[in-house]
Amino acid sequence: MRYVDENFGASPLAERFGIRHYPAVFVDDVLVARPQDFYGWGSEAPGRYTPWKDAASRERFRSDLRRWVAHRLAGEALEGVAPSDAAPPGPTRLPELELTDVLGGTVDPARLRGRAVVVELWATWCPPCLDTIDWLDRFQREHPDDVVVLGLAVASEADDVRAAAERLAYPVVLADDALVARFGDLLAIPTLYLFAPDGSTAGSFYGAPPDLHERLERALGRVLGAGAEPYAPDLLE
Amino acid sequence: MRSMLGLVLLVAALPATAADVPAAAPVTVTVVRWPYT
Repeated sequence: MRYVDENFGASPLAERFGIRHYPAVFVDDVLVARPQDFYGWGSEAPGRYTPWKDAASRERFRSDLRRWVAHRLAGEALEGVAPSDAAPPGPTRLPELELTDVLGGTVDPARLRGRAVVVELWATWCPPCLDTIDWLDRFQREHPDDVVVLGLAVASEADDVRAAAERLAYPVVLADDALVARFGDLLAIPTLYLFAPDGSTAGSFYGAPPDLHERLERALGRVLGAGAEPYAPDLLE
Repeated sequence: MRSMLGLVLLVAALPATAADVPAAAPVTVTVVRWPYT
């Protein structure tokens, strides 16, 4: 394993991810810890690793980093496989799902039919995932009828998942390996899949690039018909 | 400021953070840090 120091102000990775403070930690090209996870930088909001002076915060960071490294190493096995030989990394259709969420509710398969469905595979120890969870929560509240968001928490403690799920407007399921496998190979955390109302896969999003939410919103807009060319005969009415 | 110095010390301690990962593992951990402490 290689360690690299990059100076704030001269870091191509920080520039690429729009990092405006320090420190930030990357595992390969995945942003795994942001400045605000360590220090408020003027915000009162607690970061995942604040207060840093507490041993528990530092141990949490070490534990998270170990998981990220292990996850990346597990994914490495797929690299070097010619694309023609490799199975598609994601599903081609929304699998049939009958699930119980972490709060004991039932995820009704009927509710997933005929609607756009966003499935997010995430982990409680992944700081960028938490931003996306909040964004998805807002999106679900703004689109309660035409979009269904479903969270699948992977490799996470049930209590932590439950605490997160209690404030969300969408169900979160503790995903075991068998459930994760139904969505293909998990190459990054977070991974988001967008399914059109007919069940076909309409988008796959890996990792947490800075423009993830904009890209997902554009894809959702296309699936929901927003921004589509108007049906010409309607203009004659 | 002491907190920030602590962060710098974190960077120095990173190689021990994942000590159970083989040295030859094909993964790179990059830390973006304040250059002046």
